[in-house]
Amino acid sequence: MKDRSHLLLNILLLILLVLFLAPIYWMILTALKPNALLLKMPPEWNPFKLTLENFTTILSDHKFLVFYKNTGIVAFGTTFLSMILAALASYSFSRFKFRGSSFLQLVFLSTQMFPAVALMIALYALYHKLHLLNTYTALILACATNALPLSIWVLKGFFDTIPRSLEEAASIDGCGRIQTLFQIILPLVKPGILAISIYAFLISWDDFLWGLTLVSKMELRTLAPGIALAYLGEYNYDWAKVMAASVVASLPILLVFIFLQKHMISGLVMGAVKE
Amino acid sequence: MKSKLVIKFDLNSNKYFFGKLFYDKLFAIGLILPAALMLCLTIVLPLLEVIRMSFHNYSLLNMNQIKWNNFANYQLLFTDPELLFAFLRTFYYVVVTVSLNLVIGFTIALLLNREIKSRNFLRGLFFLPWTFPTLVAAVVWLWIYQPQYGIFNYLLQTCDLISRHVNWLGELNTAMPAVIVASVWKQTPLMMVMILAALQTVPRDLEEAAVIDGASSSQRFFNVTIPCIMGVLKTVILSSIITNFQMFALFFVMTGGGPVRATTTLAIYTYEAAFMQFNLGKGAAVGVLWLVFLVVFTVTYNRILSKKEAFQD
Repeated sequence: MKDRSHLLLNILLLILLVLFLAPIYWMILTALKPNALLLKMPPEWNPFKLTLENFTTILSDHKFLVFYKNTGIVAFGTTFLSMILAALASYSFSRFKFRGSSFLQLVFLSTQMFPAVALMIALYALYHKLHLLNTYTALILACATNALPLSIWVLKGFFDTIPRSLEEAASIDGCGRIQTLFQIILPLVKPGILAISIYAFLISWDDFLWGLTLVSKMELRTLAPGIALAYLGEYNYDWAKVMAASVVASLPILLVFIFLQKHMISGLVMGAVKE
Repeated sequence: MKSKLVIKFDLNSNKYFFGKLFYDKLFAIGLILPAALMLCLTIVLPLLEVIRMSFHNYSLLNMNQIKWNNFANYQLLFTDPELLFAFLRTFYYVVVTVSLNLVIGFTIALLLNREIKSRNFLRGLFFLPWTFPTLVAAVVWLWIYQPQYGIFNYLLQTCDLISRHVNWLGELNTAMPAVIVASVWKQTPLMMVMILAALQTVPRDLEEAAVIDGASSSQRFFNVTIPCIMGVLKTVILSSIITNFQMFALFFVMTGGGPVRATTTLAIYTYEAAFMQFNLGKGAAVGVLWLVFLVVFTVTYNRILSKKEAFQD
């Protein structure tokens, strides 16, 4: 009886797994199809007729490479900026108690709840005044803002696990505060730094709204709005090309996921599961 | 425990003019300053600015000439029935999406929380859809739903479930559910991973004690498991509500708010006001209403749920 229910549950699990993975399989299969087979009904499942032609087309498309480069710049900029800011702020929150410190933490965390779309209009007007529209800086600032609150919260949890006696010892040995932070404490929270960096990278790679509104020049477009605006016309999409672009656009995150899954999930989970 | 460190430092040095405590404070604030400055620039200032803009005549085409307009933006909004509809559509989308995320995510998490081989590998596979950018999710489902050559219509026809090509994203009744499917596909994995992590923190001995006391498995679930992970559930549900409330990319790419206005949610409505009707003032007014609603909602949500928790204790 117990074995049978176990088996049924495993079958349910398998069905769910197939449902969740099928769209990914279909995307990759489409990306590998030559144009002649693309619109064939019933669909062509034969993997021997596949081709890499769509990938070579997309990778030799100048526009696509520009989008890719821009997304890379924004993603690394965001990751770097939010990592530094989060490391400094969360260290302070973890170690020093001053009046208003816990209130400030709450304020920081709650900024995450403000709807981006509601603030977007004001941000657009503000950046217009500051001449920041159509710059990488605008995108990096906006994406880092999305990543920062949770990063501080998660990293503070990592700092809290480091014993205070380390700093006291360093201070007695004549180590300055900044030196202590960078040479002794930060190396100990490397997993935390890695987790929040991955998180910031994901946020900026996933960004669509900021890339669409804060930037209007083709040379500065990032991947997500770029693919939507350049390859999705009204009719006659070249689906194989769009799917190939999608696969290539997802590749960096897939690689991060494959090699750093543990850190990626721990960063995401810690924000909620700590408490 | 936290404040002790500061005092200790204070004792061992007199060489500073203001005392070490003062410099500690200065250092602490100095560390926070860069993050605080950035959030001021990107959250606090826009927040004040969006309120100011909502009271002015503010056109995208002429951003240097702005005029106070006696609440005209708000009057415009309150006489536009479309605002209420946009709000209701958003509400419908959020409620259905978050519920499905929760139910399916919870189911998978429970299935993976049994004694099962290769749990981490399976968790990784289930997590995979979340790693694709939202735009890619939108584009993939756009292709799946494609009326003539889409695989969705093909499969349903092969199974004799439909008799004609359905334009899922182009018909009034099916557009919203079709977008919901895409968003559930993309978001459920994250919910699942969070709940699974929470389930694994439920103390084993509590569950065993419940078994010894003769609790049925449903009693065990509702009286042991759920209370243990309530804190996490509360957080993940709230963050899922907030994410979906402002969902923009899926709608923009998959339907653009159509057909007619069947999928014009608040996010799309705001974007249209500001960037397609060029009326930044109106867009800002929607933003302000939206912020007021979210603040009221979050406070109520926390009140209700913290009462419930107190009751369970």
